[in-house]
Amino acid sequence: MKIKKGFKLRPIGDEWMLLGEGADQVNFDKMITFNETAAFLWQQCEKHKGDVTADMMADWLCDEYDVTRDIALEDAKLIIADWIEIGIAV
Amino acid sequence: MDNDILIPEMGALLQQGRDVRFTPSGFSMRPFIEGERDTVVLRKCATFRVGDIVLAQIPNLQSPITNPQYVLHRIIAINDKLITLQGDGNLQGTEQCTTNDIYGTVVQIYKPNGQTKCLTRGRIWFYLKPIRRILLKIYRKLLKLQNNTL
Repeated sequence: MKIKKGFKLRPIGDEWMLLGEGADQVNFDKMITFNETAAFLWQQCEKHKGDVTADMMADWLCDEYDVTRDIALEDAKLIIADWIEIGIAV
Repeated sequence: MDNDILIPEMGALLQQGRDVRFTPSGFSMRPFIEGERDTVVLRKCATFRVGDIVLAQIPNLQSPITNPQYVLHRIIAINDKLITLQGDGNLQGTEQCTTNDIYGTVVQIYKPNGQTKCLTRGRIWFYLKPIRRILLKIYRKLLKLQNNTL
């Protein structure tokens, strides 16, 4: 999985929002609300730049949160499927 | 998300010189902007003209403590720094604010199919005010017909 370009994660209020952003336009129409974990994973993906697997995501989750490897992997798979479905990753 | 959080965020981006695109809600800008359907692009402009559609914060004069009201309406009068706004779809009722309360000006209106709408200054519409009620009724009927055939 690879996150698509043209989005930027912004903290708005108490939440995280993923907004469609071009060079000079910010699109609040393509606004997706992220929870803390999703925001963390998105930031990790941005840092990583290349392809990301569910295994890699599970590692990041285990390093950051108190979670078992099995649950982390399951969550990672779900989030990847979700991001692909809503069109913010391929 | 709450307008009280989103709109100031949009305002900050506009202030930085970025354009902001969003879908307004409500029907007060009919027939020029259909709420929850059309999208608009806002830009921070240094000057304002009568006929501009702007996103503004209307100070709540009765109770400054309660949240301000936000409107995307057309400028119908400018008196030095005092701006009078009215929704194209409103028969009565105007709002007043200062130039400082304006976040940005609409520079583009998009239909759901991605085509742009002609950005008019609403001058003819302004002079049609006495028969606005009838025109809006016809518009609503046409919109209903269009939705039924889709």
